[in-house]
Amino acid sequence: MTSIEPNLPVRVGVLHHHPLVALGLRAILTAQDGIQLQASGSLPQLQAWCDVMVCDLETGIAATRDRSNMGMLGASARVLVHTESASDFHVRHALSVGIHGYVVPGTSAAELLQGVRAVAAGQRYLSAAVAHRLAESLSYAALTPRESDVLTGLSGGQCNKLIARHLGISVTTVKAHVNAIMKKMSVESRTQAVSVAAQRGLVRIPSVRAHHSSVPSGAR
Amino acid sequence: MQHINAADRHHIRVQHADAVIAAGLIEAFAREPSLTAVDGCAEAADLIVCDFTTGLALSQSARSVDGSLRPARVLVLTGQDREYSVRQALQSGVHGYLLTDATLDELLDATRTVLQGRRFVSPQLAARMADSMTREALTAREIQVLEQLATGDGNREVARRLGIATGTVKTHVNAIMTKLAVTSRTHAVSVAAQRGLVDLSQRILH
Repeated sequence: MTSIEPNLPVRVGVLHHHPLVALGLRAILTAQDGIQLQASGSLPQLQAWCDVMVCDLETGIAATRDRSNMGMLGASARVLVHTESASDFHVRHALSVGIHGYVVPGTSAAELLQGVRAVAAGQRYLSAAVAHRLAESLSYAALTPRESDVLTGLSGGQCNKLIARHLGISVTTVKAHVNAIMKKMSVESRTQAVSVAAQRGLVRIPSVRAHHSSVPSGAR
Repeated sequence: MQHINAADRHHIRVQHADAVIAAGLIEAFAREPSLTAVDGCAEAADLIVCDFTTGLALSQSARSVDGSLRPARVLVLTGQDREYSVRQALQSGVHGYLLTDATLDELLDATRTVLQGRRFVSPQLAARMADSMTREALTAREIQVLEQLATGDGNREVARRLGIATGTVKTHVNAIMTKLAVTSRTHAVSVAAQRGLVDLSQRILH
């Protein structure tokens, strides 16, 4: 759907895998002027019925994938995600796959409504906290994909030699990457680079909650 | 649904910084006849359901009053699943700790448990805490050293900052690496960040 008639209500669907968040989203979105909340349904049903879907990150990514697969075939809902992860990695990924809105916990009801309306109108919307985070990430130079690979290796506790072997490059190249990473992150040691990366969410660290008993491979 | 006596009715105050979660909580409690929930109001309550920061502030202030009034019990609902945060909350006197991905049944279970005067921790977190007890715990000093390591300081700076000898720092670092089963300082910091053993939030943002 490319445009919304000004006097037609925005049809909104909620599909969030955290029950309490889903309940809260519905409670806020229901009985709002200009918003028509759809009953719960499956992802394809909601996509067909709604202008905007408010989802968790995974569902949102799945929904945009369907949306692009559908192409010109039919009107399909735009996606606003409500998720706890505001890491660079996730925000960039979400925007790059075509998610229109990104809000995190701490977002007020007014912000959420503003987000839904903006997304319905085809605009991108980031809640204040996400926008702030993204702005901050622009203040330092982005790492190249190869530098990210090296940083991931460092975070796993690998030494230069191991990283070199895994990536199929020479130890000297690894050293050059590590120096470039430290310079970009304005840190003075490898350890600090890993710590800053964990903080900013620059590398994908396996979710601890998902595998609570696992120890990183190198530590077994 | 059985009849509920006024005396059995529990008053819950929802004081959550997140508007969506707050609305979800009010909605969830409204479905339970034995519970009355109000949003962010100063009324007397048996239980306060709140976010992490509010929970810590409430239980600390309840402590300092030294118990002439029976303070409301505190149930924290948060996305912070790090071991460090859970410990911090429980140590400061929070009664229940639930993650925001909880089901409605888990929420009611947690609510009842805390209202009965018992402690509650999300099942996933409990499993993780139990898991961490099978590993050797770091001492308070080792945690301090680890936090310094995360800032990228060398042994000498760490020693100066903590007012101990460089040799002692080395001993701590070796103990930390043995306990975490890692072979490098960098890996120790990475593992600590993943497991949430230390609080990195304030120290490394520039």
